[in-house]
Amino acid sequence: MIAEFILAALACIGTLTATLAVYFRYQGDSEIVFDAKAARDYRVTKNMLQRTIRCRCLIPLANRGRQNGMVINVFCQPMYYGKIMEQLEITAKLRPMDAPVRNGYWEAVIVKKKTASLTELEVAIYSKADLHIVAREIPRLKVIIYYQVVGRDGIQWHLSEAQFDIAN
Amino acid sequence: MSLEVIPLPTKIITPDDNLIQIIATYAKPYLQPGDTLVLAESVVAIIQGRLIRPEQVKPSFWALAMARFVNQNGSLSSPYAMQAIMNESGALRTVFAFCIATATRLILGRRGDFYRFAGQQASLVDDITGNMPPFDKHIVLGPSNPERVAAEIKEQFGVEAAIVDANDLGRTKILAITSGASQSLLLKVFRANPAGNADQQTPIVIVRKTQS
Repeated sequence: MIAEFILAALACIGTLTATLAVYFRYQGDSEIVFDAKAARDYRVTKNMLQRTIRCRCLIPLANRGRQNGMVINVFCQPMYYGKIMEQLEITAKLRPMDAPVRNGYWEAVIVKKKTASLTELEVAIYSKADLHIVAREIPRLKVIIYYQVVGRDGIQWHLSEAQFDIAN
Repeated sequence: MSLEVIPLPTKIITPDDNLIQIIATYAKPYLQPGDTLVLAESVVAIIQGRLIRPEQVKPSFWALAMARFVNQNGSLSSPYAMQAIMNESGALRTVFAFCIATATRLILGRRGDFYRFAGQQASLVDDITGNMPPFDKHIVLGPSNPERVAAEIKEQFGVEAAIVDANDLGRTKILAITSGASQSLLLKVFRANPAGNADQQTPIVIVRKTQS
């Protein structure tokens, strides 16, 4: 009798667990990406006199998942290209195109499932060295985008890479 | 008799501020005898430091599981907000509320039992993105002991006081109100959410009865 009861209880727990697992799997989660491979409208502007380079491009922010998700934090960091970097001051900002400019502050945003919007990545380089040297040393500048997403499963960190052609 | 509703702009209010000082700076010059001073509940909560970053919360199995059953329009659909409420109201109570709410929803088709059983904090929590910067990356809980806060305001400034949760959807909840203020009047006024839900930065509202 007791053995049958324990067996029945275990069967109930097992069925419930399996049902929940199937439901959670079916429900899915958000899948948010800064799709740098689909980036467009690249623009690199050099001012030889002031020794500045401004780079910008548009990067789609897409949620390919089955649930909404939130992008809480976004940090952009240029890769380190050796000693020439000591001559440079680089700032990189990313913002949603439809959001007001907030001085580089990324306001936490909900990205609805199966939607995409555009974000603008802007990189400003101030150089102490001549820009020809900068272009020779860093023909292509890679910027890493680290972003924090909160979805049904919790916090996830992802990264994406955008690349600017400095030499041309 | 008619009503005058005066939303007062303030600086961004943070946990470093003192509520009485904020009222003294931004509202006192405009206050008249007979006024009712109304504060947004989120501002009281922020001043009380009742905000948490999601990174400071470790969602349990129950928080992860229960949050999956909440519609994503609700604050508790994030496991972090759900865990924050479990920490606030008690894990057992929250799980019990969830079980009861599931049963009454499936059997009776009744909604809202989770919030009835889990307590007021469950309905007051604002998840990440639910607040304006710089608190857009925080979970903001409901205020603690709002009745005492309202009583203190009345004592300090000699006017009636209330703490209200209002939004642009017309859902208004009065968390605390002093004895001389009219609850029905405030519900009517705040249905239109005069303080705004966006970046108006007007968390203090004076409600004044005039003779005209």
